[in-house]
Amino acid sequence: MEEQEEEEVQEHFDLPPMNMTEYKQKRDSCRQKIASKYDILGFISSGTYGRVYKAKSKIKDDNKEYAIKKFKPDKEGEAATYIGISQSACREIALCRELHHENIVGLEEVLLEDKSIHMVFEYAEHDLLQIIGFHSHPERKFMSEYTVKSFLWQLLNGVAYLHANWVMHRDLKPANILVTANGVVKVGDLGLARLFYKPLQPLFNGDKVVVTIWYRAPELLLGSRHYTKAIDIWAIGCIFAELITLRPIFKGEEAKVENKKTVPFQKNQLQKIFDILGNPTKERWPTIDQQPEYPNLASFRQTPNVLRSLYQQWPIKSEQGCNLLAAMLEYDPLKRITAEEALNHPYFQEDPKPGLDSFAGQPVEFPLRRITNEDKDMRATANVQKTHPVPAVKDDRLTKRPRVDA
Amino acid sequence: MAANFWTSSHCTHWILDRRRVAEAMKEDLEYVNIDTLTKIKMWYYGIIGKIGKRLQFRQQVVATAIVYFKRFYTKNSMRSTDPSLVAATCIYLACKIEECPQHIKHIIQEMKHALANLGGFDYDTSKVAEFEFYLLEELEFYLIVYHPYRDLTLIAKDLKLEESNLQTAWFVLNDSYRTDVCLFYAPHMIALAALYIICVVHAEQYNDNNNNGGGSGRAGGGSQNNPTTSSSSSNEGQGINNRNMVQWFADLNVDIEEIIEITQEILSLYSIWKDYEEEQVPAMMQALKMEFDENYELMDPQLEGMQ
Repeated sequence: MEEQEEEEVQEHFDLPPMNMTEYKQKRDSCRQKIASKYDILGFISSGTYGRVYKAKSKIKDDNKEYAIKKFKPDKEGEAATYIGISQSACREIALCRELHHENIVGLEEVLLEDKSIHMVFEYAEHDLLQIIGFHSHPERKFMSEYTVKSFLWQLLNGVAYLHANWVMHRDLKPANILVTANGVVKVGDLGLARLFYKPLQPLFNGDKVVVTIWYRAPELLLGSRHYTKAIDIWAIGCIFAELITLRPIFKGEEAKVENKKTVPFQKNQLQKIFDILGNPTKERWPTIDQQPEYPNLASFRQTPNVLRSLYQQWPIKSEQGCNLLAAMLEYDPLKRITAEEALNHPYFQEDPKPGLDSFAGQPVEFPLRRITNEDKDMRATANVQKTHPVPAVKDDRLTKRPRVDA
Repeated sequence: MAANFWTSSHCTHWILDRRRVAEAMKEDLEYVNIDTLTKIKMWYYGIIGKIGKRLQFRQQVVATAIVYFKRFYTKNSMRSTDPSLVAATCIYLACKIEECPQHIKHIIQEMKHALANLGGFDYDTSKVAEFEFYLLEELEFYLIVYHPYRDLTLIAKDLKLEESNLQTAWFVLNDSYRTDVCLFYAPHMIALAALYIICVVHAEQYNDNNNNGGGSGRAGGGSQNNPTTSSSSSNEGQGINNRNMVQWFADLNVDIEEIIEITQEILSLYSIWKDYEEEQVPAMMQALKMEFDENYELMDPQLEGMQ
């Protein structure tokens, strides 16, 4: 009797074979083609994630331009089977879909085609790396204080919004700070960004290395497991100094990652920081002895803090500017100024006051972002507009990402 | 967004109209009745919970995966899709979004294990990865989900709620994922309803409903603890001054009717649980997936002597 019952049950286990062919066909057939919505104007750049194209909407009334980021379906060089979208693409989609702010690059839509994710962003003509490069070559010509201050204020404004929403960017650097033709700052590339509200695991467990080396905060360099949003402020401090002098303030050499399990001690980078800010002490940073790499600090020579005397040689003379810079480059992350506080800093009350168009009154005409038609992947479907060619400055910061896969 | 539910995609795009959800169920309801469909879905939520437990996820990851699953089925019928592939993909994506990525192979392995008695799981890595695209599209690329746990913790702090009561309310929230309340109501309202259940609805009634309920333990385990296991704490719940709680709810600037609706929906789950037998699920699935045959009468496995 019991056996019989079991047989009966067995029989019920045979479900009709499920293939989702019908479902997929239905979905595939109603998916809009990218080419039906956008004209591809040309190829902008490529990175570890994939490629970026400049595009224009086919809708007559929409004169806006867009940057389409196409994620590689596979990791380059890895023939292995496709294992789904990357953590980085996941984060960027999830966060950009929620964030709406004047100073954060806007995500128009996400499209699927060719087994790849395509993120359609609002287009930004410039970025701070390109602007800094333009001011440095062929000869150095400093930016006006108004422009620097406007960039800085808008950057802080975007990051304050991120932080208020529990989002840490974790890869702020000039190449990721976009600027529209109207001089509006748009914080871009949220591929390393993540929520930090009650993380399920220590942040360190997720990504062993965050932030490009020159912009990496001291607590990260000292191996902190539970870093905070203050790491973004350090990076902004570095960017502020770079906007003034057109040179990275802490241009260290990165110790190469030898195996994926251990993170190398970045002695050279720390030395560059100490050369300007002096050695960190228990007085300046009371919990410094709790940092995992603290014992390594004994091997550094003693240097004084020369930030203020250095600043006096820079083209911007405001003392409040120096105070703000020092507050952002504070060793102790707990004492470091927050984005919200920085926005209310007296420096921004002084003339010249920051504006919404960072280029206002600026005599220099920036060259347009260079696009090419060389790419074989997504061919330009419209004539490439005429641009002033920008000498291609070779800078590995464009493609380098601070990533060691966990 | 993360700091503000009101501007989140969850609030602006994914608090749904009941009619839309009813529309999506139409096709399935031609093959099975509503109770059966509910039980089939409960079974899949149980599978997601079970895998979450085996892979030691935090509850939030399980909750996100279940919400993705539910959202997918507000646009599709279960009959025309394979819920096991959908469930596996939801888990995989939820792990990434909640920042605790799992290797796709582990999830497939666990699916095979969990479905050994129900047709198995015949998909490899590339199939699940491919399906992720479809899932993302169905979710309209809105991936951040709010859960009532955070609200509950905040309210509990405000109310100085005893730890044991907080625990019980937490379990009620776990159970709420077996219902569709997360599709219709804001998370803080669900958190309030959980509190309402433990503090205002008479504790005895609550225990009564559960003692017969079979509970989530059977419904697939998950990380859900059966509320009955914490009945002692529910009794302590009577220690909360009910009159004060009624007043506290009345003073809240929220729609109390809505809290009662949610409460009823969660409590009605416990009554469905009462006669839920996991062993019935294969037959229910078969009825749902039956090739259409005009001569065949609408079959409800429960009427076919499966009880």
